[in-house]
Amino acid sequence: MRKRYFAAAAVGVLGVGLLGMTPAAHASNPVGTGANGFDGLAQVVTGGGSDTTYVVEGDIATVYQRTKGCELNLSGPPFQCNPTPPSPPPVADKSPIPDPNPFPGAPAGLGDYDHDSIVQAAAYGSGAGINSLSVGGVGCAAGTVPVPYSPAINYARSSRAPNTLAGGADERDNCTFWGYGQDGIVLESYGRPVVSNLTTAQLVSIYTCAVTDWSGLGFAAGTIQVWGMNTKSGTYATFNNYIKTKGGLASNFDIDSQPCVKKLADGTFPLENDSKQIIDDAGFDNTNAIWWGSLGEFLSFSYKRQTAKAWKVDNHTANLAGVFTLTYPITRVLYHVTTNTDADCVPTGAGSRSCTAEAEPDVAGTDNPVPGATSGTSGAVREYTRAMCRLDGSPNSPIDVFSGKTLDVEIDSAISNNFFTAVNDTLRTPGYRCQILT
Amino acid sequence: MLIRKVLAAVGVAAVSSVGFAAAASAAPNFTPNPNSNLSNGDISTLTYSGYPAGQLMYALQCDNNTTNNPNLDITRDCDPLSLNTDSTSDANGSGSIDFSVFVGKPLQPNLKWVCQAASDPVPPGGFTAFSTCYIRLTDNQATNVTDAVFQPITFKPTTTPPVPEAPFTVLLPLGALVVLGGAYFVVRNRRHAAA
Repeated sequence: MRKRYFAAAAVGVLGVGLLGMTPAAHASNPVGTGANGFDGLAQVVTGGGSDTTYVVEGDIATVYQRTKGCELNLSGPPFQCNPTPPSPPPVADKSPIPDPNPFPGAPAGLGDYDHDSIVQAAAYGSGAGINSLSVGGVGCAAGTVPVPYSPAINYARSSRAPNTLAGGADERDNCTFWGYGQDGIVLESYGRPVVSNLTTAQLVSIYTCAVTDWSGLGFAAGTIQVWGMNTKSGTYATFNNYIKTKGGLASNFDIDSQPCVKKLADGTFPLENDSKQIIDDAGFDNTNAIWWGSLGEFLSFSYKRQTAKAWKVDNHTANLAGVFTLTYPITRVLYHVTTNTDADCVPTGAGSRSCTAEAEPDVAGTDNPVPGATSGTSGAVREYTRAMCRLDGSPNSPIDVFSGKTLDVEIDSAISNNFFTAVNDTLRTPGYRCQILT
Repeated sequence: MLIRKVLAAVGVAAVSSVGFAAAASAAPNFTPNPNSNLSNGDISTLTYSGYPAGQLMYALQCDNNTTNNPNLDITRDCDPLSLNTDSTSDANGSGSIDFSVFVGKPLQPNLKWVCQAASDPVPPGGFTAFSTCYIRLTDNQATNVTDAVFQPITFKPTTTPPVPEAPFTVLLPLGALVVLGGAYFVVRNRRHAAA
């Protein structure tokens, strides 16, 4: 009889212990709370826009989806996160390959908690993606009407900074630009005997058609074949803006409208970054052509680069160190663009375009309830954006359950693998790994 | 006579095929010069051959090679920002690259390793120090492992190593010997002079 009492007492103590452990082990798992984008339901989120960042955003989305998520209740639809997940057994790490997680206490809930899928729609250019975002039927810039994207997208990929329109409306009015990487613009030629250095002044003279022969720049003679580019492209916008600014040109300056600038034989301008289009064109002049494109794509894809060779600009080699340190003259930030209603930073004051520094950048703050979306695809956009821009080395960085590395490390690798760079400290918003323009 | 011609032809063919085989099978390789006692920002010229012709070359500085670390990750074990793509291989698959070596921390943020001389102190913050680092050279694209070759480089100390103290147990007897020996010769010379 006494033994039975002891056994019952032992079971009771154990049970109380386990009950006590359950909430502790899952305290950070916001099962179906709706907070911070967690609604406990797997959503499909679609990004569209930039060609330049199509691959890298896909790679970042992939590592995000490899982070530890909630335990799903698979007993039937809607397969929501299990509100009462069983406690993990309290075992020590005895694996032959030790857990490399430097933050073993990192909560699972700060990655892709409810197993959302982030997919990349076809690339039609940064402008096409940004212009399609809608907040109650209004575009990113106040007073603009969104232009549909096919398929409809939830966030935009952009390789250019936000635009201010002629009337003063700004794409930051209703949207937020989350800069997660940097790229350079490389000037390319193909069969020229010498591809050495071009100054910014020489570039301005080329793209305003003030100089039309290479001999006017001190090189072997030949009519410069100046190729234009699809204007919806962020790569176009970035370089056009560079020439406009450095040349002191009119605000409506447009490279493609210059008389010496060449189109493809079918009357269109080539899409960015793919040299095959112009090399295969009937009018291509291998010796005298010049074009521009993304340094990241130039270094990543020999198939798109073909025989292109890079010019130095103002005696700076187009390389990643120059892009990261901002010493290469033509650099840009790569952005992930969300509507403010989906994901925004906490402004420093009413109407402010600056963000409050966050110890744990929760996109819209660590408060609960918080501004921004908390469920559906909008909440999923917010959850993804938060993970993308969380500061390096944060103890809240979730684990990639395949590699054992933290998400911040995996995002760094995704960016490096695509020959882009992290955002320089001087450009980052305090408390984030991103530069936020809102 | 016919046999001689046949033998000669066979000989020429054999020599030709040997020469051809040697040319075709030349493996990619390069030599960094200088490759030791390097300081931050020093230029090491990478003279390479055996690579495919007309390819953009990718040179990176890494903390190891794939022999020592089969799991080497070029985005974490190499500094992505050290990438040099200034060279395109010539028609023979050869060329040279002026590679700027770094000593200390990589430029890429959040990499926890350093290249430095063995005598240099390891910086705090969980860094791993490598006294031998490697330059990795490949072609066409950075992920090309088929043609990737690693060559070691070593570094000049940035701190002066402490001068080892001479042990008194050696110096004292030696000093005594010198003094006594000197005294002996002085006394002997005086005796000779007196005589």
